[in-house]
Amino acid sequence: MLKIQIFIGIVGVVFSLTTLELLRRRLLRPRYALVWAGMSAVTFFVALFPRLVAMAAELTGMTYTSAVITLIFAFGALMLMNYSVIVSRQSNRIIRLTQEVAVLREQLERHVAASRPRE
Amino acid sequence: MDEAPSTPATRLLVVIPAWNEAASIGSVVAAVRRELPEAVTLVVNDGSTDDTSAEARRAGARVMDLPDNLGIGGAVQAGYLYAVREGFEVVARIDGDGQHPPSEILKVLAPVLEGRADLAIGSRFLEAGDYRPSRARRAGIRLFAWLLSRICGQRLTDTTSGFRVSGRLATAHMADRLPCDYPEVESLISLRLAGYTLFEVPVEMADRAEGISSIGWTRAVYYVLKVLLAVAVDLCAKPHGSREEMARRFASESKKASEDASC
Repeated sequence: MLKIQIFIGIVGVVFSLTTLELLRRRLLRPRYALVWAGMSAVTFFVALFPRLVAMAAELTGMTYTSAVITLIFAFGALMLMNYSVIVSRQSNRIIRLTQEVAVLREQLERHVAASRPRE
Repeated sequence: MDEAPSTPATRLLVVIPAWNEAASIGSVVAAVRRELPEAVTLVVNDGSTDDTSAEARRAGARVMDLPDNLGIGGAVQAGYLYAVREGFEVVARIDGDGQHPPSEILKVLAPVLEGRADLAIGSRFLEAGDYRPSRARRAGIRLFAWLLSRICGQRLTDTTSGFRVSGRLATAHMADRLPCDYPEVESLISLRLAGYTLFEVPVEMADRAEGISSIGWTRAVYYVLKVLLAVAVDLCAKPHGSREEMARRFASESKKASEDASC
């Protein structure tokens, strides 16, 4: 077994354990954990069959380090963009929720104030 | 409900967004109630940390306390949402700092009440008034006026004015779709592209009664760039629902309501 295999294997273990622990503490929702579980799976796969990576590199012509780094960077950027979309959507929802709560509170206050003297 | 939304007394809602305006909000509310005794005044307290809410209540306004600070766009939109929920037919929006004299509201109301416009904007620049902005501010105002006039296909002079009156359809559009970042400029584009009619009315505006609004060159340039970006996005973005759709929605809702009433 190559040193690099062991190293990648450890990275995979840390990845999957972190994901599981976050899930267990309910800090991570299962739907968002999927992509991290996928990452762990890929990492393990690479650790177990290092020749597959070489084959993939051969097939796609990505034999340069810079190409690999670009790929990793693109993946990271895509992930971040995905989270920006999620954050924007959630911010819109929070704003609407805040407004709805305020509308309801005003209506309720007025309702209570109006019904009080009649009791 | 203490007042039925359909009575004439509740047809006009004056929305005043306020964030830490305790010093001026009381007199603004009092002035609105004096000028428009038949209107309902709603102060949208945008998470103030001072006595804005209490001062507004003391002056006799309805107060909607937002649980958190949403910024001007979110606060104004909350007011529009309230108007839709409570069935108000016309909404006037003025600032809480005393910049928009309530005595001028009637002027801005006229085009909407007469059915000539979906949204009327109180403009400081349509006629020579006393308002003298700083040079940085004036440059930005000119740029937006030129750009928005081109986009909207009509002459607009005061695109950042928050002094506005909207009819039911435009109010509902903004309750759904008011962009939260730069609501004054962007809402004009959003409304115009959706087929709503805009109309500017010359008004006198006072200097800010309290508080500070000092925009220097760097902040002015930064603000202009941010708004330009938002405008560019608005022009490319998926269009919002059209005025026709909104009119149909209102027509079917009122038809349904009358059917319900007849049952």
